Amino acid sequence: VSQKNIIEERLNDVSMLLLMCDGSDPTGVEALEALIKELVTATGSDAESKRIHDGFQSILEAKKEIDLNVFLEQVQQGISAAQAVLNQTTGISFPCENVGKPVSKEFGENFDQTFLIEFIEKHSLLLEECESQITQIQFSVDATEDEVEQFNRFIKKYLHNIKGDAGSIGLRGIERVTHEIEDVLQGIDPRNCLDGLLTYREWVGQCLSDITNGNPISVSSDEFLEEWHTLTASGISRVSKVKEEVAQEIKSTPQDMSQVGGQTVVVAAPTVSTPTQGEKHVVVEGAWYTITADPEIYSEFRAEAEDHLNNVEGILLEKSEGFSPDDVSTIFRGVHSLKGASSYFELEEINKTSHILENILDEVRSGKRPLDQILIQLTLKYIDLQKVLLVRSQKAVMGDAKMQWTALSHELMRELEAYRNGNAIPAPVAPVQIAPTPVTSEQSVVPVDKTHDQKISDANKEIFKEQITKVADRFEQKIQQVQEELKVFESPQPKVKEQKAPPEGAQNDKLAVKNFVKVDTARLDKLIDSIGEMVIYSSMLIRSCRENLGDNEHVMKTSHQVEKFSRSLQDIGMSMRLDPIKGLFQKMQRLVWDVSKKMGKEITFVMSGEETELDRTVIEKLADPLMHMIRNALDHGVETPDDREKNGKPRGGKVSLSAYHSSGSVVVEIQDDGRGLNPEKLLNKAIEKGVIQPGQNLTRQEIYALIFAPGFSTAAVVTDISGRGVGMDVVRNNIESMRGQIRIDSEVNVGTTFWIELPLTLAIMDGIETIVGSDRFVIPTTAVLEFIRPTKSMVSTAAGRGEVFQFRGKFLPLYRLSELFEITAKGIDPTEATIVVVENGGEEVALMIDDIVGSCQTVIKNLGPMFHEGRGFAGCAIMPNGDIGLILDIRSLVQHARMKYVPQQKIIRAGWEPDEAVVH
Amino acid sequence: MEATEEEFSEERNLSGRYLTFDLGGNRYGIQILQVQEILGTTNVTRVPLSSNAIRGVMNLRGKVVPVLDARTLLQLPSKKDDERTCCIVMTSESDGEELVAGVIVDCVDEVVTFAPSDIKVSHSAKNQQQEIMGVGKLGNSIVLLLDAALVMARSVKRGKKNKEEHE
Repeated sequence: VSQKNIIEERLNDVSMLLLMCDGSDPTGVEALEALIKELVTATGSDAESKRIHDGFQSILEAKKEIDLNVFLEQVQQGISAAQAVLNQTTGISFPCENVGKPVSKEFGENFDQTFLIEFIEKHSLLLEECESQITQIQFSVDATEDEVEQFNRFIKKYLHNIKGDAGSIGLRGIERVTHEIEDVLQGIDPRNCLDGLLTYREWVGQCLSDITNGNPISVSSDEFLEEWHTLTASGISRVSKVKEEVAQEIKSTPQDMSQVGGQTVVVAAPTVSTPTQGEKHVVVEGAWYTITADPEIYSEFRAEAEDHLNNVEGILLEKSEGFSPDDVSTIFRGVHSLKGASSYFELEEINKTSHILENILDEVRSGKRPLDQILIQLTLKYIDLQKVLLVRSQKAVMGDAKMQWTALSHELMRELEAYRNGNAIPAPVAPVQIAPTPVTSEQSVVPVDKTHDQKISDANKEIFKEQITKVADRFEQKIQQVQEELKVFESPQPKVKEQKAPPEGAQNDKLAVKNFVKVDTARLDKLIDSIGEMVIYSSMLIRSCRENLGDNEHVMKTSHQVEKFSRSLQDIGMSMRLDPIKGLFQKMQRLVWDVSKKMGKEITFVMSGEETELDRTVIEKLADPLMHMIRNALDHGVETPDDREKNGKPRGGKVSLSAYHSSGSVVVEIQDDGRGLNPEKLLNKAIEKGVIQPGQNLTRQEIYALIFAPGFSTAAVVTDISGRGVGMDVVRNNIESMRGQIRIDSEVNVGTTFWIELPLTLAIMDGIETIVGSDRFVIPTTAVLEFIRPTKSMVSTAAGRGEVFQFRGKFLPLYRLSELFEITAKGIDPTEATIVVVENGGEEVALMIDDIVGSCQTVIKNLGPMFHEGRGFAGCAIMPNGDIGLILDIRSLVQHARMKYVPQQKIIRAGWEPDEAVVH
Repeated sequence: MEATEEEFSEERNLSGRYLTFDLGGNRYGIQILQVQEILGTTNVTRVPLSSNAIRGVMNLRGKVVPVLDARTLLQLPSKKDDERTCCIVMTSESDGEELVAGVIVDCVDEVVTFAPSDIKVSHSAKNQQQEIMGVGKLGNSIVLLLDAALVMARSVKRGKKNKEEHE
């Protein structure tokens, strides 16, 4: 009689007695307690018994403080939990478990910080992808069946992935919740529960950020589940629904094979189950061993070992067959040195597995056996396993933790032994050479849900089995098909590089991983800086070469080459800073989804040009203003469905967000088909708020621009989403701080469009180089409207307001840079100088300079902490001649000028007498 | 620049090698470890609207480096640059960031070594730091020891203060 049977018997006894017990009958409870104690002592030493032991122990401990009825209830729960443990079901926990222990329901005992980082890295991407998929399916009304199915598959795969990974690193809370949700979704179309999925995604994100920030979990898994079930409402009849619908689903949708398949593997097709048993990191034959190593030496070992593994992997993947003796020895050497070094660190697992493989490879080397496909697969599996082990041991070395033999190692060793002894491998191992984590792709191909046979009552089981046999044949075909497809992955291809690129078959798989190298952004910035520098210096060099050695053909040729290369280097440098705007757009999609729900508006959200690339910093800075504008569009722009109907518009509003390139900059366009801006209302409001004087004649554009004035808000009702009147001026400031511009166009009852024009990058700026006296200043091209050599009549002094420049019927304040900066200018007569009309936050200002040198592209540099940035200058740049040119910051310059020229102050300029003009 | 025994004590260990330079007839020194290099004539771009003590910025092999005027910093009358005018490039660390700045002096003399017995530390250095952190005896003359790190840190502070006032 096995240990398991004993426990089962005892459990039965306890439950029998429990039926007869009553909270008001202390003697009965005492008998029950005695029986539980017996059960506790009967438990053995394996992991399952231990859990049951601990579970009941904690129930007993908690008994003293609680009411007897509650105790009985807990015993009941304990029994079902114990049964679940015996049947290897996860997701059901003992009551009172972890009471008084530092670990909570959210974390298992195997909770592991080191793997957490990997988990977060992997799943933050997945979470984002998930969110975008959810919102996409929400917005695509006309999704084809294929798309829907793909989505369903994705969601299920995604949940399964998270569940497995969370379980393996001990995020028990997340595991439990995911499991429950997975169960619920098993029975229904995930599209009926998009809200639930979104909140789930949010919750997981919140949990992860709580954990990484070292905070306690803000919403516990229990709280969340409760909330979740009420939200989705499908939670009420959950269990029964699952039972019915699983059976029904098989009846009605046999085409959803990959899901149904998961169950059949367990019930009807045990032969294929070998590769799927690999629940990651499950410790089965858990012999403990310790590693003793100096962390530093270990790191070296690990780096070296990884090199070896990558090397071996590279050879295997490159050739697939026709290995030269050299290749074989390289492979052998790699495994051999891993074996040797691992024995030094007492890494039993690595050592033993390497040893067996080495023996086999030795035979290959001496020509006794070929390096066939099965061996290649085994070696690849070996490599994946070693990589996992290396990570784990690193942790063990750092923290003196013990290592435990993993099931995977045992499995691999068995397989290797079997192979060596000439036995066929039961089933070919699914190739996993591309995926960095070994088990995930197997899981995703044939997900196994063991809980299902539990959930199904005996009666249903019969029906279920019948259904299964019906679909089993078709399913087997499907499996074959999948295996065929998988072979495409591993089949040899003539070109090496093509094989490493994601194979075509992976296109369905939205999780295909691109190869990235992680680089510190600071380093990247430094590199880009240096490239910029080099470009400038090479152009200086080339310039002087041309001037001095222009007749030397060789020099000229080489200098052309240098110029070409430095340009392409600059392009590469720039491209490294660029990111697609997609991520930001997806955030907006989410925002639209949330806000439109909240406000009861039906919104179709359309995005285009998500692939448009922009400087990372620009994208970061754009997030806030964009969010604000989208909110505005939803709140003030699009009317309520009823209002829309009244105005003869479709009930559903439309908001579109697009990005595109336009003459060297990137334009982000936000368009809604809402009520539009009403120029009259805007004018009245502006007058009321004192932003403008009554009677002022404004163009349409100028009226629209009024919404950017500080403290200006047109919303009649202040909602909690937008309309506090601090919006648009902040938006404009943010955009202008990136040297961007914003424009509006609108028509009443038709809609409003905003254009945000942004520079491709913040690092390089197009400017106009100007001269004042002997100093050079660079004016950002985006700010410049016009250069004019004025006539005498254009410049006049307004009484008490300084000088005024008359430009296209408008009077603009005129500031002389020479006076602002206290420089001796070439002359003081404006008719001999140049006037630049610049735009600053929708307001035009005229600056007087001596001359223009020309346009230039400059790398912007900070002036450093000793200068007050933004006081007249945005920074500086090294000019092609090696001098430093200061880049004007129009906004702060104008501020400074206003302070300098206090009204009523008359400046006498000898030799220049302007006309007196009267300006209101 | 007379100093009495009460005013100076040996609180800080300032002994070591110093680069000495002249400024308005006095000899000054800064710790050699704070000197990055010495430049002859440099092309300094004036930055309008900045503090008086800052001459401007220069292009030091692609790096934009601020240039301070030692005479203005120490409230000495200004003087026109001549062929002996030099720019000492100083480095120091502040808040984990490396600060580099040039300082214009009348002329650079030599590198001297002060034994601890040759140095008197500014007494008030305990409470409030001073730009002149002590004096060193060199034969019959004295050398005023300038705290380059403090000079630079104060310039940064001025820049920030300037900003706050402006805002």
